[in-house]
Amino acid sequence: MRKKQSVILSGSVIIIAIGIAVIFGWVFKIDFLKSIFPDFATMKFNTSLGFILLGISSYLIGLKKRLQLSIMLAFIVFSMAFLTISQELFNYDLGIDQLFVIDADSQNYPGRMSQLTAICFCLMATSFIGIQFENKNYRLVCQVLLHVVTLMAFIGIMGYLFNVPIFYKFTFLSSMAIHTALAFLILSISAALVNPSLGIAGLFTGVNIGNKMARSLFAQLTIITLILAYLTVLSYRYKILSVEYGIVLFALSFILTSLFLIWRTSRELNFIDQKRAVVENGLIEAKQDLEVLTKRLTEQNVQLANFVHITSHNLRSPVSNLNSLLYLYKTAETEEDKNSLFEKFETVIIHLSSTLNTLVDALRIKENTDNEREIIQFEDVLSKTTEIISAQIIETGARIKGDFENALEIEYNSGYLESIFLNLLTNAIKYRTVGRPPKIELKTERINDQLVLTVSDNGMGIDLKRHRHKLFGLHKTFHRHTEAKGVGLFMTKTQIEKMGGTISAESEVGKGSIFTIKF
Amino acid sequence: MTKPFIICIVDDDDIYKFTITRTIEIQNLAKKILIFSDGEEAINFMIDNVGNSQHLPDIIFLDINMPVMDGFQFMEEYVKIKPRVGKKVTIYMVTSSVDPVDVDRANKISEISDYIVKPIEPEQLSAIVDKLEKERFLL
Repeated sequence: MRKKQSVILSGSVIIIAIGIAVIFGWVFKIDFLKSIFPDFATMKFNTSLGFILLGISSYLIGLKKRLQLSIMLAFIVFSMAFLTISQELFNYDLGIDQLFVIDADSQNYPGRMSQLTAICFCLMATSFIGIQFENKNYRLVCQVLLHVVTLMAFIGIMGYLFNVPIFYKFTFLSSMAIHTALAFLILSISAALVNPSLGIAGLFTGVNIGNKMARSLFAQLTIITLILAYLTVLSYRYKILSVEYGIVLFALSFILTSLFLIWRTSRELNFIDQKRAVVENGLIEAKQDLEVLTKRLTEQNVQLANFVHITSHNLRSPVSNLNSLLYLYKTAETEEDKNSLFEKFETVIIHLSSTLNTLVDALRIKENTDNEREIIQFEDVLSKTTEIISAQIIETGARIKGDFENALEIEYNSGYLESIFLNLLTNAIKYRTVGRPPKIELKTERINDQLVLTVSDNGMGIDLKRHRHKLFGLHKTFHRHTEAKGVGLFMTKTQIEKMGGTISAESEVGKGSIFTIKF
Repeated sequence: MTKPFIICIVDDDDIYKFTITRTIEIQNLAKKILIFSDGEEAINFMIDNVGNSQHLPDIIFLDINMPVMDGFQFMEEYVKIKPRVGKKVTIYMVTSSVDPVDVDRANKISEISDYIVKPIEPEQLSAIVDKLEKERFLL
């Protein structure tokens, strides 16, 4: 916005400067200032006055200050230009042409600005009056008027460049001076930035890729076309080429340069598109990362909530037992009674401290951040485990079979893996069917790129309809078994989840259980 | 004077069973105390004595977390045999769980009179029995 405003303001200042310079030229009779080149048309005194007034008007519009004064100035210019046209149309003389200075240079109507200039002034002044209106349609009309002036001034300048009088004379009697055309060009372009989103200005001032392309393409195309046209004109003038041949050559070279421009543009567009694709991919990746992170966090939250629940429940019950025992101890009357109660205190305290140890172990697993991983052979872990429980194996006649053909090894925390194996195997032996030697099978598989370990047994099984939801809970037991404490599977699940895996179970009472670990 | 009630304790925690039995005995709150270690043992007893009202408990203190059959599963089974039970049995859920999910679930079962969080105070215990005695007396 600031940049556009500064363009409007400097455009206005340049116009005012041109106007003042030409007035200076008329007063002190300096021909260079009046016509730039000898024998060219002069900028009339009234024209330069019009530019000064319009310049001030546009400066005020750019500043958005004293808009009433700017409208008044535009109106004065409009009246002057309109009267000039009417003099021409109805062939009378109001005496405004040489009101300020005597024009000795021109033959026809001395001191009168050309019809073209007067029309441009009319259009421009009308535009300046309406440029600040609220109504968008009015402003659009004003913008179009400015564009018309730009076009006319451009045609005038082209005429001078190519030295083709028909252009800048535009069939009117008197021609537009070169600096008049230039001044109109500057003023109409800079004033078009007052409403930068409207009309052709919108095409060039936007920040989108289309506007960027429009800017660069139009500038290049204009310059190349002008050069080509100028060369063609020169070739006629010095009779190097025939007219027909020259037109063909112009068309051909125009097509070739257009092709070049299109090639460059498409390359630039492709480059931008590639850059966008890279950014897009980055965004997609970042989104995926976030989704993974969210999933992990959600999982951890659920685990944490479970843990809090477990902790509160499992610590509350021994503490409430201690409270009840304390009450009984206080009310106990005999020494013998007190002693037997004291033994019960011991039981609870041992239970409490073992619960605390379990919870601390679980916390340690959860908080362990380094998670050392190493390549471990499943066969090695199995033989190590069977060694530890060899007494139970011999005692029960258990048969343990490991099938690790599909996946021989895993990168895992060795302590955890050993503990997982130990827990599952001792469970399978502990909850064996009475009168049937335990048969335990371990098998690794790769399912959908994931390593899966199944441990199946022929033990007593678990009624999962009743117990599925608390199978891996702390101190949850499912059999009337003196050794059942409800710690093993809880720890196993904690370790597996810490390593990012899951454990589930299938079981049928009396037939056996299958535990499935997805690492 | 000993109250004329049979009180039933269903819980897998040995220490709890010991302390609550002692508390009942000290305050003479029951003429008889039945003790079961899980829901299945308790429901089997109920089924066996379903028409034998003089053996059935007046009050059951039921734990939630137990092996084999937990408190909620016991209630499911109990609701099935309830029409055949020849006695009004008052059931209290007594547990160390403060989980709102458990509390909600217990409150939804109309057969459960109240939800008590362990430890159960001796005064609380006698209040429960006194209340029941008043109800019976008025009837």
